[in-house]
Amino acid sequence: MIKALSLFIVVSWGAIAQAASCCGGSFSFPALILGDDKAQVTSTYSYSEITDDVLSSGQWMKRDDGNQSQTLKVEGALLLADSWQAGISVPVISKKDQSHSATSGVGDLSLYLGHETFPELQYSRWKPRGVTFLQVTLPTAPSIYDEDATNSNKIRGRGFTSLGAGLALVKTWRVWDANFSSEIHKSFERSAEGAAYNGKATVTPGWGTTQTLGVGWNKGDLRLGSNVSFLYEDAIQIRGDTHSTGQNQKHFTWGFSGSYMLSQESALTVGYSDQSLLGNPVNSTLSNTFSLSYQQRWQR
Amino acid sequence: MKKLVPLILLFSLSACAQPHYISANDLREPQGSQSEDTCSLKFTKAGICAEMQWLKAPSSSDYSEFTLKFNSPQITAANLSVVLWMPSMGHGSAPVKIEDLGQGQFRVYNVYFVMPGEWEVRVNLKNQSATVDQVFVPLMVP
Repeated sequence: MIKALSLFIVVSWGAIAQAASCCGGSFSFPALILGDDKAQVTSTYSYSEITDDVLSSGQWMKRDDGNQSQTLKVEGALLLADSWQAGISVPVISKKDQSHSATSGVGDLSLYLGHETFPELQYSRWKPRGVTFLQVTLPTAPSIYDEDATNSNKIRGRGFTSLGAGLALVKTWRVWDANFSSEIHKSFERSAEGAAYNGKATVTPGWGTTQTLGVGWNKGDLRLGSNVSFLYEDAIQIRGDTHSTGQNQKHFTWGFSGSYMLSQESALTVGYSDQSLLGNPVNSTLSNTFSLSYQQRWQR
Repeated sequence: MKKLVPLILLFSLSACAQPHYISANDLREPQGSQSEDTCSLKFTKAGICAEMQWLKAPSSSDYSEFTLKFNSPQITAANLSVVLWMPSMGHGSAPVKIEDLGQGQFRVYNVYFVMPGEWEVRVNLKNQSATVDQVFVPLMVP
């Protein structure tokens, strides 16, 4: 039971959608199949409020404009072969603040391909179970680089195509479990034009990475977990009729979650994450997020 | 193990964020708004001066507005472009609107900063689509 419950920790990874420096989601780990299942669907509702902006100098500014977002993210994963899985993540985002009414729509879609690179074929005291994955994120939502994005509530995506690769590891010992996930991604160049860019500009993002370490305590059908996540994004460079070299972005997220296993194939997770508690963030928009997830799995 | 607990707690505390909030002085009136220097914006290549006056202070929660007064009456709206730019994050904001008041004077309105932080108002002098000269006015937007 404990082992099965610990596999739901991925729900809490998915709930920690990292807020980007400006206005849209940045990166979130895919809800991978880590157990002996053939398919799973994870639905996550999250409510975020921006609390602070951190400048490139490291100075903080309190945000009190009521900038809130609600996200409903549906993630599906399907086993393709014994070790291979494919998945999709579809977020629908609604944003509002004190100055503008709410706007809603689809965020950036993500597709991924996972491989059970580290199976748990026999018990080991130290060897974790793990999946490696490739993930592509598509700029399907309006971003700051689109001319019609006239207020921040219309911005629901980063605006870049990104390709990432990562690893997720899980290990359980009696009532305890630990998890580690790591990904690196490259975002690709795009163009932007219009009066907001004084003509035409080439927008060049770079590399980014997210590292997450977490622990959990299990009792019966209940799991309590905590994790710390670090995000880094290279500076975004602009060339053309306007130009700037940009500044890299980094921040930490602390998260706490509680999961309850409703059955062998379903679980409910409540999570809270805060980006203003740890580390020395730079050039970032920080938020608090409350999330509620339901995961349904189908065993092989 | 018991010896490790205080060490882990100490490490946890040292890892806590230590917010250094920006002071009220840093959020003072933006450059150009109260300057007595009538050449506060110097376009060195074009040999032109301009004065910038905020009519409505910059803000991320409302539209702002300012005037530009050039010492050259030949400047028209066709020669002028104003871009709101956030250099640290590498993006702009919604396009502004420019009203030509004549005699090298302009009202720049619909000025909306999409988020708080360090911004630049980039004033560009143009010859058709080519930028001839430009001045960047840094400001902190609350």
